[in-house]
Parts: sequence; C-alpha cells; structure tokens
Amino acid sequence: MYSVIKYSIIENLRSKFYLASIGMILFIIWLSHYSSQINYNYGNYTLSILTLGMYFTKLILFAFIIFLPVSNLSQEIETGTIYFLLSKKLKRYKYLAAKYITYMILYAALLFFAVFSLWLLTYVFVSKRPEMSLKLLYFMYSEFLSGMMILSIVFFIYTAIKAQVVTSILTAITYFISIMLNSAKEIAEKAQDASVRCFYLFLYYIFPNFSYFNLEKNIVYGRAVDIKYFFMMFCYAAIFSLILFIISAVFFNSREL
Amino acid sequence: MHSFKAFILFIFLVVVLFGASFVTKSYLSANEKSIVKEFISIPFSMQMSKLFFMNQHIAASQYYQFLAVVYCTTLNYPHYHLISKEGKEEHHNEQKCDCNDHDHHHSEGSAENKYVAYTHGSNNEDIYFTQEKLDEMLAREENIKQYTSNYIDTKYFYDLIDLSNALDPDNDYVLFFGRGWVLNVNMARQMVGVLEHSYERTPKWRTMFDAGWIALYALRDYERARKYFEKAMKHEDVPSFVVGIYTHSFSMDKKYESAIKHIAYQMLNTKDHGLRTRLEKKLKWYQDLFLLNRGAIEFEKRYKRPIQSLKDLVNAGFFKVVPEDCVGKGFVWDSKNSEVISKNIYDLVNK
Repeated sequence: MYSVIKYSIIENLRSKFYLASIGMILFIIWLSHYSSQINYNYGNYTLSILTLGMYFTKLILFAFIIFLPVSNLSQEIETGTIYFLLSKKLKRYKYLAAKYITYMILYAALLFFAVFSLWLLTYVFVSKRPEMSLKLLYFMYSEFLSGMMILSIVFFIYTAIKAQVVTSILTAITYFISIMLNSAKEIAEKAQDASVRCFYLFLYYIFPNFSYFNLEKNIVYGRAVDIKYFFMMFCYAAIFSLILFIISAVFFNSREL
Repeated sequence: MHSFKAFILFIFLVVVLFGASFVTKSYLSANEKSIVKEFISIPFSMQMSKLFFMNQHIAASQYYQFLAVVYCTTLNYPHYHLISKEGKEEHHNEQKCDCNDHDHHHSEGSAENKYVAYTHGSNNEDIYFTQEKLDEMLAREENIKQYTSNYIDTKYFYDLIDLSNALDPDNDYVLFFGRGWVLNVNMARQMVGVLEHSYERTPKWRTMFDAGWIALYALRDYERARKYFEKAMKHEDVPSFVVGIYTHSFSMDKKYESAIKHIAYQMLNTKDHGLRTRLEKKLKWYQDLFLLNRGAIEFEKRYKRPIQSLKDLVNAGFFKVVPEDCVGKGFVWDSKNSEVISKNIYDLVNK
C-alpha cells in the first residue's frame, strides 16, 4: 500500500495535469493581482486580491479533484496496471485507500502551493501585515476538508457507475446542488404537502453541504473562528468521507474491472 | 434543371438571410446597450452568484464592484491637478477614477509657466498641459456631469453597486465608490436609494450618514437629510460630528430656532466639559445668526426696504454692535438671497 502511494505520487507529480494545475495557480495568482489593481479603491487591495485569489484557487482545486483521480483510475484500468498491482496480494479496498491518500496528498500540496503564493503576494509584497496571514490557514484547512469530501464523492460515483466523464459531471452537479441546499430547507418549511416536505428535508440532510467550509468572510475581514466550529467541520467531513469511502470500497470490491 | 432550381433557391435563401440579418442586426446593435443593461434583477443575481462563484459571496461582490469600476471608465472622466503660480498643487478634481484610461493631454508648449495643470500617464508620470487643454477638460467634465446618461446607464451602475453590497454587506468600499461618483441630482437620488437598501440589509450609522450627506448637499432636501441623520444618531457608535452636521442642516434651511433647541438639548445631555464649551460657542453663533436675520426682517417691515449692510441694524437701534462671528469669518448681509450669513460657513456650504 505504501509503495502504491509512493509511486502514484511520483507518477502524478510528473503528469501534465498536475504541472498544468501549478501553472494555472500561478496564472490565477497573477490574474487576481492584476484584477485587484483595477478594482483597487480606498485601500481595498488586500480584500480584493484575497477574495479573487481564493475564488480562482478554489476553482482550480475543484477542477483538479474532480478530473485527475477519475482520469488516472480509468487509465490504470485501461492499461492493465491495476491488474498487476492487485495480483500482488493487495486487497482492493487497500488499493482504493492508497489512491485516496495519494490524491489527498497531491491536493494538499497544490493547496499549500496556492495558499503560499497568495500569502506571498498579498502579505509580503503588498499588505505587509503578516499577522493576518494566519487567517489564510483557515482557507487551507477548510479547503482540505472540502477536498476530502469531494474526493469521496468522486470515488463513490466512479465505483458505482464506472464512467469517467459522467463521474466528473455528476460530482460537479452534486457540489453545485449542495450550494443551494438552504433553498431545499426553505421549500421544506413552506411546503404544504407532507411528502414534499419529507423529500426536501431528506435532500437537505443527506446531501453534503459545502457551505460549511466557506470561511472567506472571516479570512478577508480578519475575524476569528471558534475552535469548536473547526472541530465540528472536521467531524462532519471525516464522517461523511469515511461512510462514502466504505460504500465505494464495497462497490469496488464487487464490480468487474 | 433541378440543379438550377436548387441554385436559385440557395441564392434566394442567402438573400433572405442577409436581408433579415441586416434588419435585425441593425436594430439589435443600436439597442443592445439598453437591452443588456436595462436592469439587474438583484434577487436573481444573488441566487446565481452562489452557483457561479461557488458560494464565495465576497468574490461575487468584488466581481460586481469590478464591473462597476470598469463601467465607470467608459465615462473617460477628466482627471487633473491644478497648479498654482508657486508650482504647488492647488486643486484636484474630486472624482477619483481608478483606471489608467484618463484623458491624458500632452502639452506641446515649451515654457514651463504655460502649464496650468497636470495629469498622470500610464506609468504614473506627470503630464503637464496648458490653459487651452484645461478648458477642454473642464468643458468635458461639465458635459459629463450634466448629461451623464448620454455616456453611461446610471441605473445599471447603481444596480451593480447595490448588488455588490448586497452580496457582501461588509463591503463598505463599494458604497464609498458609488458615492464618489455622484455627479448630478439624478445620480444622487439613485445613490440614496442604494444606501437605503444597504441600511435595510445591515443597519450602520455610516450608511445613513452618507444618505443624509447626499440629501443635504446634493439634493438639498433638508427634511429628508435630517431623517437620515436621525436614524444614524440612533446608533451607539455614531461619532459626534454627525450630530454637528445634523444641527448644521437646520441653518441650511434657515431653521435657526430648531438648531438652537437641538443644541440646548445636547448641552443638557452632556457631561463632557470640552463638548459643552464647543456647544456653547455654537449656540451663541446660532442665536446671533437668528437674531440678526430676525432684525433684518423687522427692519424691512419698518422701513419698507431691505438693509444694505449690518450697520443699518445698528443705526436703526436693533443692536448696539454687530455681534462677533465666533465660528465663521464674520456676519455679512447677502443681498442676493436677502439674508444674514456667516461668511466662511456660507462659502463652504456652497462649495
């Protein structure tokens, strides 16, 4: 399992997709710097660059986590690498776990790179307020947990339907529906019909809610977040990811490769 | 024969397509702005921003602010600094355009004393220009102020400001930006509307103070301004200058008695010695102004003519001496508006 992680990381670090992601992150950091200069008014640079930078970073990270794992897994099945690995008495769930850990490490590295670049640009070269830089750790933490959940959704969908492109699309749809989840709760509260109410409440509670990981306001306005909130965020992401991973492992174990 | 018919049909369809395209495109191109920029549905945009910006409301707010900033650059508003004879900056036109797309006028004159103003180049270098060029810029500035709607859709602009603030109610910068672009009464009305919306969403003293300020100085709607100031004053964190401006608003529509009553009330409610001293000074100023104006009215009633100067009031026995102006640069008779004014204050207000 350790070897799978090690070689997967080495292989992926050299992949065009990963390098392109790094290039894209550098580009978006520059882009947010450029757009912030235009948007600059009344000493508002830090706020502007942070919000745009975080948004674009999130976009790249999201694209990375929904495309790379699926494309790699499909490639390993197509080229037969997976058969070679599984023939070495490596259990399927361990293989899946190794892949999960690999992508989370790659994701974390990319996230760290993005946050570091943003911090460097905003606080060292422009704002010169290093004490504020700690708030960017909030972004790193919340994005890591969010990535953990998205990856588990990707694994879940991929192991269930075995289709590469559809998996990415469905994950993206799931993510965007999750953003609108509060509307589901509003509908449930207003609905007259009990079945409609149950359906929307079920949707509200079963669906992942990525809004909880949105700490941008606290980051850009330098507001502290309660430690309990961080803990609950972790619990939510960990439980959700673990359950989805277990279901994925069951699917993966029983399916034909 | 068949191929000939097909050819004719093809030509016919091409001509029809061309004709239809020409007519529709001419219309659409001419009216595109009004169709695209007619208005922004703020509730809809707020819902959609959740999706497009992956629930990053502040990023969405910054994006709409960005649109507003870029949209303003289409005004090409002149940006210049006047130079005094000593070579120091005398005046800077008030609008702060954040773009690099100002009217940059290069002077071809050689003598330095020909230059009357300067602007900034794309690399932030100073570009000097002559009176002739300055007059052109002033004319353009005036034209933009009077006919802003010929250049931009102000409703669209203020919708962008409103939306940006709605997405991030802590984004006060966008409100400052919108307020900075109030060029005429129409824009002032729209900005006050934006500030009212902002206050409904997140009550802050600053929002109501800004609305009051615009109503007072741009709209000259004193009653409305006072309503906004009163709302601002209900907030605990309101600074003392808001109360001062509220009091001053009474003098703008000549309600000196109300101003006096308000100051007296403030004096009763303060234990701060410094503030009390300042209020006493102000109270005396309002009382003098009130008495002088009342004296001028009495004089006109008695002698069937307005006074020529304040000395007339002394000569007629209304006052022993003209009171000393403890706030402005002296009380004078403004024959144009038939009122006694405090010189410095009057100038400031009219600026």
